[in-house]
Amino acid sequence: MRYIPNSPQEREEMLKEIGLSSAEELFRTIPGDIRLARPLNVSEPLAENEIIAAFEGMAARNTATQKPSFLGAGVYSHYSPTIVDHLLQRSEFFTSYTPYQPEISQGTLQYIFEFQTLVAQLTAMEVANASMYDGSTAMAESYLMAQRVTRRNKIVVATSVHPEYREVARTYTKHGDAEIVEAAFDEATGRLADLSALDDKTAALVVQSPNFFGCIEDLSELAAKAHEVGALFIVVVTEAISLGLLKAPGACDADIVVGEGQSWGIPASFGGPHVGFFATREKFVRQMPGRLCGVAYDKDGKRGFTLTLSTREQHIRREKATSNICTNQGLIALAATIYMEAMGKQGLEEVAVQNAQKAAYAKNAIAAIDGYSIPFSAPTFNEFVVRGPRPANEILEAAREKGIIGGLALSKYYPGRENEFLVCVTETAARESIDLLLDSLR
Amino acid sequence: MSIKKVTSHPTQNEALIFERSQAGRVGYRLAKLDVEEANLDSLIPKELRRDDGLAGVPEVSEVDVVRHFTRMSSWNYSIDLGLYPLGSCTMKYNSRLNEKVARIPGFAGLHPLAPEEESQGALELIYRLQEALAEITGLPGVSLQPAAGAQGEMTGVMLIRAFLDKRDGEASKERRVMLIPDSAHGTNPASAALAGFTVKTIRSTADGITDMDHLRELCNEGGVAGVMFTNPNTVGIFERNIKEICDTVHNAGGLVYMDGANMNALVGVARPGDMGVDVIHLNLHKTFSTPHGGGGPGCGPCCCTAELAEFLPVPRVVLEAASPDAKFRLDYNLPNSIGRVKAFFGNFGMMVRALSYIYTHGNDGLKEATEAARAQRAVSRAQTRRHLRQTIPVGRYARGDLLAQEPGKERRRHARHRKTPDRLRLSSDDRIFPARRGRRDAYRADRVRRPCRPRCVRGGDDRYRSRGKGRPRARKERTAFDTHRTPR
Ligand SMILES: Cc1ncc(COP(=O)(O)O)c(C=O)c1O
Repeated sequence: MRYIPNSPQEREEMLKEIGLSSAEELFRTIPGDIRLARPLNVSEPLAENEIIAAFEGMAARNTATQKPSFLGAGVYSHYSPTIVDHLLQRSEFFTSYTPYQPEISQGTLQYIFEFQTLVAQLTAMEVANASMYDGSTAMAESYLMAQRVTRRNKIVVATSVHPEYREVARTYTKHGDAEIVEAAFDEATGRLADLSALDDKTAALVVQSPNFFGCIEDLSELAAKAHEVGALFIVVVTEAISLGLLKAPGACDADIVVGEGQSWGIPASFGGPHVGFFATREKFVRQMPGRLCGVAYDKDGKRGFTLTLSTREQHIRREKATSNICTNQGLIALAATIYMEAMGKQGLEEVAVQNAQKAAYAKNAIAAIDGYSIPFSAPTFNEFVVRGPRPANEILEAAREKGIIGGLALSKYYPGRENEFLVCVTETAARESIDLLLDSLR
Repeated sequence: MSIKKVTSHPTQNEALIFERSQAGRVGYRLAKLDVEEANLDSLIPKELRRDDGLAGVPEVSEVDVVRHFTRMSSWNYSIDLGLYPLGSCTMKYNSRLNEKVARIPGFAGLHPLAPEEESQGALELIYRLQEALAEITGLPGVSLQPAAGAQGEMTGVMLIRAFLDKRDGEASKERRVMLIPDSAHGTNPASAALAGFTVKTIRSTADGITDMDHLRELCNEGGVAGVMFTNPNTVGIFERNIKEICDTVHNAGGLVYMDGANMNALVGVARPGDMGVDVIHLNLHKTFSTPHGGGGPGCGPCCCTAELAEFLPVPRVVLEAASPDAKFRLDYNLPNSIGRVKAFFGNFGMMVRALSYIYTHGNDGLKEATEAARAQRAVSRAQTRRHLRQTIPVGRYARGDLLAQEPGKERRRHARHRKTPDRLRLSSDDRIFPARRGRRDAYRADRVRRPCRPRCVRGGDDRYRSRGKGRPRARKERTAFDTHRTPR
């Protein structure tokens, strides 16, 4: 077998060395009646070219990847420099283990440290962790953390937060004592409007910006409202590229910033693996979930890096840990780190500006088409809602026949909003494809 | 003439990227904006935009980035350099074929919200992997949504909770105890807590398996929702009383969760479903060869009995009809589901790799891999035992993947010591945890030192002062790297 390092002869010798006559004997501690007496019913072993052919065949049936697409809603198409995928495939990163032993993991630890720093800089927060599974679980964990910090149990969350994120948070909190109240957005602006649920039992106010409809929230004002009642202010970011242009949540007085880092050079890959990030104020660091890497000095004063504040984690606190997360998204955090460093200060801003410009071009042009309008007035970044003259599913179906994936029908998540769809335009959308989209709507 | 092997790095202290930053360097180029540029203020008002100029974010060239990461990588030990003898965190060879197929544009570029008709290949792949894992575990209900082992555990115990709530109604409130062996991985109790269970610890016997008397005693105390055990357990021993454990817990009205982190020792040989297990999680990043990648990403499928399948996370991938033009579909209509545990469908890219691994090995190969792992284990155990007898005192754990443990023999501490080059060794006594070193500085690279100072990695710099008094000696390797940089 290709991946088994020793030959059948070698294995036979090994068996002899330990005094066994057959491989079956290796399993003598497993009672006979629970052993599998037949071969597994899975595929025959396949050769490399057979596997490539089979997988290419399956991939070819993902016809969506052959069309220009204006889908966003938590997963975005962005250009990723070639070196990102190249460097992350270096064996020393790619085949390494969780950095529990700092003496053989300084490479991993240093990039985690840089990842944490970049996340902290872009969100303008004091500390960030080594990563979460994705944005949705990062948000779910932020609810639990807010409850621990405030010792209150009510979470007020905007309905304009990504619907799948809210579903995940519901799963994570349903066996605790959290009370989740969903707060409505304003029909005219698309921004969070109803703050009547905020009270002195509220642990946190949770908003996404840009929100699911692409609208940029007025974070400073919402932070003040949350802080007035002693609640934490949690900001969710699903489009990390927006951080290059928009006011950082930390600068708007957020207490916890969580989000999805897929936009930092990570392929869509049908929804994962991506990378969640989690940042907060230093005073809350002991309540933060997930791994944290810190700087350390050896006895000669040389700098190194090591996992730290591990008492928060489940190895030590077990059922009292701040979270059950162990394996996180290490390698994807590496990809995100390479992306952010390669793009650098200028690139992160330029790519954000291009997104805003291209989306604005598409938004204005669509609004000018007969029968189409933009229902929400708040400023947007690279996504916006369009209201069409007929059900969005029909409009998108027609576009698809012309070879374009025009966006996401809102009715998937917001029943009743039949004529509306979400359009996302990033720097990867060439003007010709935007114009194709416009044609398909006309 | 002999060529001297390169054993050391050009520098032992690769600077942080923030220390390498030089104003004005760029390492990217975007295509020119191809639409008319609008006034930014008219799109997004100033007060909603950043005004800090992204302070602190590095400015480096492409080659700076390549060198930076290549140099850092040389500080890591990894599978491709040699053996990583861990137990439950099985570290396997990570096939490059898996990487190749995961990068096929039809997979890597697929948006999770693309129409189902246009994502048939991805749905098929998920379905095929579900089927394979159901066969390997003997448990027919499979969800690939969990992102790692711990999330698979949480999903699994939530299935148990949902099952009990449905079966017992109000009375389920009285059943909130999860029994977990003392040797269990810390994620087990932490996951049980997320599903609202309290934990009671089961003792192990002297030969490292579950103490059946203690298990019975705990079951008799009542309130038992279930047991979470690992098999082979985390000290590497197969729980030979597995059927009895399952019967005892089932008779007490509870369900059995198996932590499948050690499935590598069982694939093709025995199936948890045939042992009486109700629900299990697998780690594709262990048993099925997807890279551990310095701590992730993982994929932690949850497999369960047909009885528990109605509670699995939503959505599920199903096959519409077994006809030639079969269609795969996402089923959202699962009223008893525990809900979603992750956005979209899980770490799909890991599923592609795992299926490629399964196809490479095929039915015989999977079993052969288990046998090879086990033979290897048994041999090195015999060798280690000889060695340990002389060097290492008897300890509590022998954390390996599988010991053919004879009853009565004491367990010995697994030799964790690995030979590493001296230069990589940080003496643990001298590790200074951030809290002791200007706390704020501790978690952020940009606050460790002032950014952008030329020749900033200098001996005698105050941040390099050791914990003790006095200035450290300026060390050559600390300055080596920056000597080529032009001073301002
Ligand atoms: C026995 C055992 N259970 C559970 C886990 C958790 O898995 P993960 O790290 O993928 O969350 C691990 C490994 O970390 C393990 O060794």
